[in-house]
Amino acid sequence: MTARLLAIAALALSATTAPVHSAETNLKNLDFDISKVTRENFYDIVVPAAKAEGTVTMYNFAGSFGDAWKELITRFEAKYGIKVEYSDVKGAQANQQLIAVQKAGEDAPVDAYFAGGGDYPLLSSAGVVGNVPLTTILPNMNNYDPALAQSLFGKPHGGAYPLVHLNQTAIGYDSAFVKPGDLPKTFDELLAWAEKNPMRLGVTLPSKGGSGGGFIYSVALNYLTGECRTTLTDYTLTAEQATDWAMASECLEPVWDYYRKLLGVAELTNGNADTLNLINNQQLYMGTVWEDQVMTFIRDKQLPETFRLTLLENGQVGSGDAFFIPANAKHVASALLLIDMAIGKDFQAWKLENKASRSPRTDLSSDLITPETAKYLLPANVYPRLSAPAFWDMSKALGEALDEKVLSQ
Amino acid sequence: MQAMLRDPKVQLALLLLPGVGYLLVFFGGPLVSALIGSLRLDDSSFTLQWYERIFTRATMLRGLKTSIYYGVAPVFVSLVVSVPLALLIRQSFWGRKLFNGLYKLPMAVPGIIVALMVIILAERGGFIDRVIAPFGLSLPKLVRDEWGIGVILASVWKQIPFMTLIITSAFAGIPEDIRHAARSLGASRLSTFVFVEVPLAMPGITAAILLTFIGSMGSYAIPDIVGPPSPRPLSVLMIFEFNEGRFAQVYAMGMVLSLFAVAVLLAYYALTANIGVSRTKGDE
Amino acid sequence: MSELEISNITKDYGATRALHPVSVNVEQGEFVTILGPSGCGKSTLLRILMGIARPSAGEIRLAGARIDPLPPEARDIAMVFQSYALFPHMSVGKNLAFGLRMKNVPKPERARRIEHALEICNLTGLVERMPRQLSGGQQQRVALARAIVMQPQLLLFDEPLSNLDAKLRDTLRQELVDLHRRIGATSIYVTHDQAEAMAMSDRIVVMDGGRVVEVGTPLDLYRAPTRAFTAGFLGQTNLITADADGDRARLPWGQIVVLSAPAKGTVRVSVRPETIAIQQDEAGVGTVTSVSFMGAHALYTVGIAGTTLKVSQAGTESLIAAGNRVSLAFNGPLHLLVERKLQEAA
Repeated sequence: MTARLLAIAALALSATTAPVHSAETNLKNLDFDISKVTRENFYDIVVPAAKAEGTVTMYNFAGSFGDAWKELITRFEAKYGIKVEYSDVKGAQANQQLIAVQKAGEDAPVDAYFAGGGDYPLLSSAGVVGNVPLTTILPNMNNYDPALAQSLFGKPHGGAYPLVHLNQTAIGYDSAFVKPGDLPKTFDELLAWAEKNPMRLGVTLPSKGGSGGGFIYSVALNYLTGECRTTLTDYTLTAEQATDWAMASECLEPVWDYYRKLLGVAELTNGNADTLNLINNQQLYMGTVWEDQVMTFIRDKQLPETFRLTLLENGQVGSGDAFFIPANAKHVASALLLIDMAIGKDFQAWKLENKASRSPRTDLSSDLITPETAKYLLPANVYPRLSAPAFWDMSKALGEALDEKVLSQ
Repeated sequence: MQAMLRDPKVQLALLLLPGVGYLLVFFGGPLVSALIGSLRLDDSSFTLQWYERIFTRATMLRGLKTSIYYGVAPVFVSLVVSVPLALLIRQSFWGRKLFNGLYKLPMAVPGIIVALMVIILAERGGFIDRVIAPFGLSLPKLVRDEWGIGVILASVWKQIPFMTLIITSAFAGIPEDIRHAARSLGASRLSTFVFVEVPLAMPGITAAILLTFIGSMGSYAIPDIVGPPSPRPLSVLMIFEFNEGRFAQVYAMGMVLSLFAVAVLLAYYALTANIGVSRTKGDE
Repeated sequence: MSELEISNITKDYGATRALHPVSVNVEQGEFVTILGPSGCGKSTLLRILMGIARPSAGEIRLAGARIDPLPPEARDIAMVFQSYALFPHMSVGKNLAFGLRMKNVPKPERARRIEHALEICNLTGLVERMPRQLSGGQQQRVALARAIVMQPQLLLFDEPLSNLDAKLRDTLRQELVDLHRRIGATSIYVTHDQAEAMAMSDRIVVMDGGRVVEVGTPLDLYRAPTRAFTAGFLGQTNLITADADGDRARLPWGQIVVLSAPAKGTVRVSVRPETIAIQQDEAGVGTVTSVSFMGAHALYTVGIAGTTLKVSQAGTESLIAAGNRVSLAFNGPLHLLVERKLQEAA
């Protein structure tokens, strides 16, 4: 107990929020004029600068992405001869580390950080995110989804925090047990299916896995209308405001009602992997999942080959993770080159085929994927049509309120 | 300076410094900073809201109850196994040496490994289920079950060696003569055990109870992985709050858990003050 | 029929024999001491009597009934331990009540017996005390009271005084003797202290190497031991080889002495230092090599015919200095030692 308190105390020393600085360019270690860089002259300016730097440090917060980045790094080092120092990190801890370093005015330990899409509000408010309009100057971002180019989940970032990987929450099922005719298409049908097949549907606890957090927000999107829906999708709400609303609002009664009925006949699980494991054990036939994680599990033979995915009307949450350059990064040019390659068509296609990692590129058609992979992805008739943007602070608020209003009652 | 050093009060302070200073710096310091942290808002103003949340939110209150439950229940089950085990180990039997070495192994296994073992072995449709399925048998729900049976069993598995070790030495600390005296005074084996050995081993047994209670009350990995998604014990909720960056809330929960542990410790001291006999005196 | 009959008890630990067949009888009310050096088997015998060790062979009868197969709690035997073995979590009163409770003695009877035991052990007023609040002597008295309150057929004592300091030991020894006279319980007392054994016992069983060497009253064993081991263990002695012919014998230096029993050939005799009279004599065959004045008596070492003798002289008015020649006289007949192989006695 003491040890735990000590650890928390030590971590917390670095946790106080820093005042927000929003200078035009906040990059500290620049030896070229970034405001002069355009898509056209990008390589002329950046490549020599990057080669002069010689090395670039990259953080990856997503455990399952290690092999994808290894692939990218191999390509990057071969093409530019710039050494990549790679580290897997725990997102929450790395964020706090960067915030502390920023506050102290020291150089950042990382140049290109692959971070959670939902971390932008925290990181930007602490001034950690370097003010670089990546989506406007990186040549490989010329086909970037305009909806994501300037803002993310309702928060403007000016191109400094571009998603390079999209992922989608979904309903996954073992087609050996769920016949095509029985497959639910709406949230009402899902509840009906669960009532007909008690304890065969797995719902991830929202606070323990994004597939559950995405699901509860999707349920809310489906059942809320009018002003209630307006608040639900109000991205200007802070986390505290969202929590207060979720705890108090009458608007969410249909959501709680849905969960009360659903959890009477469905299994609440301890995490994304927990749900998948139970489906693999044939204890569950259907559950809330992440599309890309399913692919990893299938490749590792931890899910049956009969596993399939679908999305419910009127949409389920899609999210993504971003690359950004910290304001105090030391090797900005190399970081720019690395991110440029990460969003390149070749690597994005490789990532989709191997990791079921969706792309923010608009030119990545599904004919680039082998049929063998395609059957494990969301079918084209539901994706991207039924993909709804995530609002993680609201998801978390709903998850906490669910614990309070339904689970603990 | 010299004169000051000769002052007995100064000398005493200097002599106490290494011990008390260590406690102050490495125990008191974090505790006080956690206490202060738990009473502050982001703008450093005083608040009780983090404590208020613990005692008004249903999730938190259930978390506190669950923490206590996950602390108490395994202790009782472990006790029921450990006392007979401690007595068995005292006897000589075939393979005793091997058993003596083996039974301590779970102590070396980290909680998270135990939790993953339970998931792999005892999950429905897991390893054990598949092995016994051909015989028409199936495991009851041990993972994510409402009563936390899986959590309790995993904690028990991990606690038994530690508890047995302490209880064994508590019994071993009772001089043989005292047992023999009881027997010669007409007490059967059982009466000797109940009226003489158990009371004399009580300080050791209660220490074992206390340590395992505090250990399992604070354990995180097992309830997080094996336990039901709801209710979650405070330890699991603490990590959740920590990941959310609500450090003040984490501090407040830590303070409540620590206070509870301290209260149990004080109760322990009060209870054992009367049993804490010096047994060595008789052997002087 | 004796109260306690120990017949041919043996104890083997694997291939080692801790007790060779041992047979001892103890009469009703008798106080018998088992005396011997550590490792002689006396503790093993005691454990067997108590029931915490099983004999390998032989049988034990107490008041005619066989007890050796019974567990300790089924035997009517109480024991006073060297370590006192009081129950540290019980008051003096509860310690005394424990055995009575276990044997289902009714409450009024219990109270009466405890009262009595406390009184005769000088413990009145300490009934509420915890053992840790008592001195060593008091603790041993409690242990004694806890045993006698049971009114057992047999009382066992396992070196009960050896943890106490010398002065207290003497006091308690006397108390024990008085107590035994008053309650008359059949008692077996194990000790390695010959003074204690002689002061307290009706009879002494001398043990060595897992065997009974000799059994007898303290006086007989001291005055006329038949074994060299007994003679040596019970006080100081001189072992002298002599040449016997009838009831006379010739000592190595030619002196002729009277024997207690007729013999022929080479014999050994045990002569206590205090039975030898010493006199300064220029024509004597012995030479004083050292002298120690002990107050009540003087102890001389005398070199004579290549051997050394210890001589004790009581009530002397003047000492004989070392280097002086002396002559020795033997008061009364000398006791022959039996040299045949040791067998179980009694």
